[in-house]
Order: sequence, then C-alpha cells, then structure tokens
Amino acid sequence: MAKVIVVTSGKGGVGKTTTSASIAMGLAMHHKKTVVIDFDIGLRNLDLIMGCERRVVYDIANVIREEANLNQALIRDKNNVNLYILAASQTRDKEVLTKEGVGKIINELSETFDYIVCDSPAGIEKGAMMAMYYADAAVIVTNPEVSSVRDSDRILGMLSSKTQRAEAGENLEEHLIITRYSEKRASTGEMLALEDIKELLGVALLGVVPESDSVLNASNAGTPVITEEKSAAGKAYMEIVERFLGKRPAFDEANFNKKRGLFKRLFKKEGVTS
Amino acid sequence: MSESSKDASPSLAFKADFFPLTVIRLTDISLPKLKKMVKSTLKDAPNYFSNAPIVVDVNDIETQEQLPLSKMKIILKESGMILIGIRGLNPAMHQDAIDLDIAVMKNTRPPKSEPARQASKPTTGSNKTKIITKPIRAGSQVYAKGGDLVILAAVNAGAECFADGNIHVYGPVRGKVLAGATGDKTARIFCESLDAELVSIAGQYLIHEQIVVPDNAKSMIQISLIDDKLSIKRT
Repeated sequence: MAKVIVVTSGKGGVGKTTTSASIAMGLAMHHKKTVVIDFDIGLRNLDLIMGCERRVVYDIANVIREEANLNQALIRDKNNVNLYILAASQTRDKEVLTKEGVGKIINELSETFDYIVCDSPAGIEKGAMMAMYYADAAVIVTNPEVSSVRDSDRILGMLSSKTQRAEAGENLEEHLIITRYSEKRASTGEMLALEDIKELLGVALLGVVPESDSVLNASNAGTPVITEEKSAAGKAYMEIVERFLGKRPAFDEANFNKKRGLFKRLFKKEGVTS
Repeated sequence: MSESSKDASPSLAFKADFFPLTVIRLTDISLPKLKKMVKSTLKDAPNYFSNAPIVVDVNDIETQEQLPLSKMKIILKESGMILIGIRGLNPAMHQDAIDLDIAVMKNTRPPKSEPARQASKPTTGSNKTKIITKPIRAGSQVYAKGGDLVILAAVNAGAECFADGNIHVYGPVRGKVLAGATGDKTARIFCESLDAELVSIAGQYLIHEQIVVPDNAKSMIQISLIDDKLSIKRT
C-alpha cells in the first residue's frame, strides 16, 4: 500500500510545485518507487519543473475519462528510474476531477508505488480538495509572512475536516515546511520568525528552505532543485526528505538559530553588511 | 351435495385503507363559538363539508370533563358534517365518546397540558459545556448552543467562536469570540491573552483597535457586560 502525501498551502506561489518535485525526487533517490501527480488542471507546471513537458502524451484527465490507461499516461523521469510523473491537463478545467475518478487512480497506483505525491494547486477549490482528499500525510508549504500563514491555517482546518481520513475519524500526518526564508529579512523582523509561525500553526516543522537562486535555475533546467547538491535549497530539501523518512533527527530550531547567530557574527567580523 | 358451498368465498374482507379527514382543532368548549366558526367557514365553501367525515382534536383543551360531545355532534351535523372521531380525549371520557358513536382516534399530537416536553436526549445533553481541545483554525466556526464553550487551545485569526453562554479560552485569542449569542447579557468571556479581531457579549461588540487590555499578565482576562458596555478586566 502506498503512502499518499499531499503538498499544499492555500496560498499561491509559495513553492508547492518546487517542493513536490524535490520531495518526490528525494524519495526516489532513497530507492522508493514514487509517482508525483499534478492536480493543477488547466495551469499545469509540474511537467515543466520535472523537465518532461515535451513527453506528455496522456494526462490525468485522459485517465479519468478512460481515454487512456494509467500506464500510457505515466512518464518516467529521465534521471531516476524510481520516479514517475502524472501530468495535469492543460486544455481542460478542474471539473474533470471527480472523487471516484481520483480514487480509482490512487488505488491503482497504490499497487505498484511506495509513495504518491500529490502536487496541489493554490486555493481551496476542487483541485485542492481532490489533491488532499485521499492523503495519509500532508506537507504544508508556508512562506514566513502573514498572508501565507493565514492561508496555511485555513488549509490545516480543511485537512482535518474534508479528507477521507478526517471523515473516518483517523489521523492525518501534518508536516510544515517554510520556504523562501531569508536570513536577512528575518533578522530585521520583516519576515515572521520560525517560532512565531510554529506557534500560530501548531504543526511540527520538517525543515526550512532558504530563498535561493538555484530554485529558478533548477526550474529552467527542468530538474528538481534537490539534485543541486551544492545549493542551500537543494541541501535543505535533502534534509527534509531524510527527516520525513526518519533518517535524520527532527528539525531543531535552537540549532538553526545558533547557526544563524554564528553566520551573522562571521559576517560582521569581516565587515560585510548582511 | 354441496358441502363445498359452505366454504365458498367470504362475504366480507378486512382491508386497511387511507382516507384524508378534516380535523377541527378546538381551543375552547364554547358551543356558540363553535356554531359561529362552522357557519362562517361554510359560507366560503357551502358544499365542501357536505357529508364530510370530521375528526375533532381536543388536545388544547385542558378541562375536558365539560366537553359537550353530544351537542357538538348535533351542531356539526346541522352543517352537514358527520362527527366520526375525536383525538386527544382524556381516557376518562373515552366511554362517553364511544356511547355517542364517536371513535377515539390515535393521538398523533402531544397534548398541551403535558409537563415540559421530554427531550429525546437527557437534559444534560443540550446544555452541556462544549469542550474543544484543538486549535480553531482560520475559516472555522464553533457554536456552543445552549451552553458554555471551553477551548483548550488557540483561537486563530480568521476563526469564529459563538456560545449562548460563557466562553473560556485557555490559549491565545486572535479571532472572533461572541458570548451570549442569543442575548444573555450575563455571559462572560475569559481568556489568557487577548489579540482578538472582535469580542462580543449579547450583541455588544468591540473590534481589535477598540480593545484595551489591562496590564498585569499574571491573571486571566475577564470580559463582561456592565451597563450594556463591554468591560475588560483582569480577574
């Protein structure tokens, strides 16, 4: 039985697709057979980030409408044999998604995959609700600013009421990832502090991904940023996947802050204004 | 010989069937009133009730010993209505009705005189305090109907909490809290810290910028209605 993970946020543009791609690739790099599904019907991006936009023949809409079977629609990643992509439709809209249609796909994928990563669109409408409905675990992507935190809170409310697990009274794993974190802006107080976000949302932190040029470069190159071993963002995603799989201890804010402090002191010493 | 003819098909059979019946609900036993009402009803539809079978409902009449059943039957017959049944009659009077060929019908309406209608749940059910242990997230609403609300977590910005009674929050309040939702002016709000979008008791409200929280972080904050004005104090 596969574990279904939804990557969601409520707010748009915070890094869901970037995170979905990197988490899926990370799991595959740990030899887990993984499929990542794009639920953003009509505005698909996952195929671009994964670098397979020219290989999409059939998409999720074709499968739901039984115009193609799952094997015809699944695209194997060019860099990792454990990783597959199911693209969203570009020409249709979210009405094509049905609970039964999505459920059928998830069941079929569960037979052969270890992990199913669902890349949710922004908002709280059908695409987002379908992406989260069958989830066993949720990764909530949040930027360290008020509107993103408010939307993440709303999404957390929906995860605990509008999912199959919630309806059955079962627990749904919740993990928080903070993305686009800027060391500089956090220290001046422009961005919310990690402790504040954690207090407001009350969900365990899986990791912090710093704002990084490498994210844009990776999306241009069509490879998930986790494969950029030297980039700060890539390293952060690798740690996140390791924590998710229990191979690394839980995120330690105190340690993180200590490192920040050291960083700041180093720069001050060398007369560089951060 | 025809022994078999003895066991021929029966001459009658009992079958259940449904007939719509007009029910006249009586609220008092005055015969002149009854006569007047019947006459005025018939004016609008003279033939509607001609030979109509009628059931009289006496659930709303408390002193039924005085019920002039026989005279009622006659008055109704004068207007063409045939009184065939009565509903809500005291068991003591049943024989009287039967003697007058008025059937005692099944009472599907509960009588007025019955003391405080029994709720299907025990009384502790609807007035019990509602206890919430998880944070109330943005976009969520919680309503404690008929009682108090106790929240053992945060009320996040964008969340709304209502209670007919008091609201107690053992966590930060950042959303909207409305106590005394159905008008109870004695309802109060208790919380540890206050950064609410809105607080209200029985309709009187203050929004965030109007809320002044007294210092002294050592005790709980209590919000109550004094002279129809919201007062925010430390306990």
